[in-house]
Amino acid sequence: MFNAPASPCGSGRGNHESSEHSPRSYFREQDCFLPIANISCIMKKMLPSNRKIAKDAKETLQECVSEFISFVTCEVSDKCQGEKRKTINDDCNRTVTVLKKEEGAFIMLFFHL
Amino acid sequence: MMDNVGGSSSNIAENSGIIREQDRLLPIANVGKIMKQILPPNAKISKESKETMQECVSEFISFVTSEASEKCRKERRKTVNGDDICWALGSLGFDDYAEPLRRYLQRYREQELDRANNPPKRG
Repeated sequence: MFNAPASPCGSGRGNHESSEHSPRSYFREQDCFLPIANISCIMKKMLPSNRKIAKDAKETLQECVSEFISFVTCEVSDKCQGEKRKTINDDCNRTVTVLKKEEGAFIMLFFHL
Repeated sequence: MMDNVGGSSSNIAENSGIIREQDRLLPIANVGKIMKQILPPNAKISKESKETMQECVSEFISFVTSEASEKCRKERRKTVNGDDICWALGSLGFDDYAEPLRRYLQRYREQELDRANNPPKRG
């Protein structure tokens, strides 16, 4: 049973307040991040061969994608509850449909949901 | 380099043909865990949703990285750093992400500096 502090739906995310323990070490212990090697691999695909990636860039994006997953899941969950459904399925696919249709998909993503 | 690629199965998605294994680079178990944390205890997540989120996140990483890389190219720098990522998020309209991550990045660097000044004792 995870007890990681998750932001409630609707409130701001990215709350990194911590008086004693670093949020990173805390979250890492909870397996709240995606493996940084995988993230690095995806990033490298988008870069010219001579471009390097600093460690802080990888860690920043690692943190960011966890927030991204939480955000999208939260929005979809709101829809499911509004429609009395417990399984998240159709709305996630609609998200991807938006992604694939337009160049500025990620901006549309947030307005669309 | 560690080769820890998860999500080994490949699927045929309706609209985009075969999704290659390498397009599902992020482990589906980790994705599922993060999704679960934000949901009510009785909520369930279908496998298809996790796979969709996997793909979505990979696209997101590629999108942000590409934007950051372009900034580096214009400034004739070879290394993409955390500030470039934050800038790219703002540039792409994800302002809600950019500001918290800047604060995160600042604390991350303070932590790194602290670690450098106080190497952990071993043995």
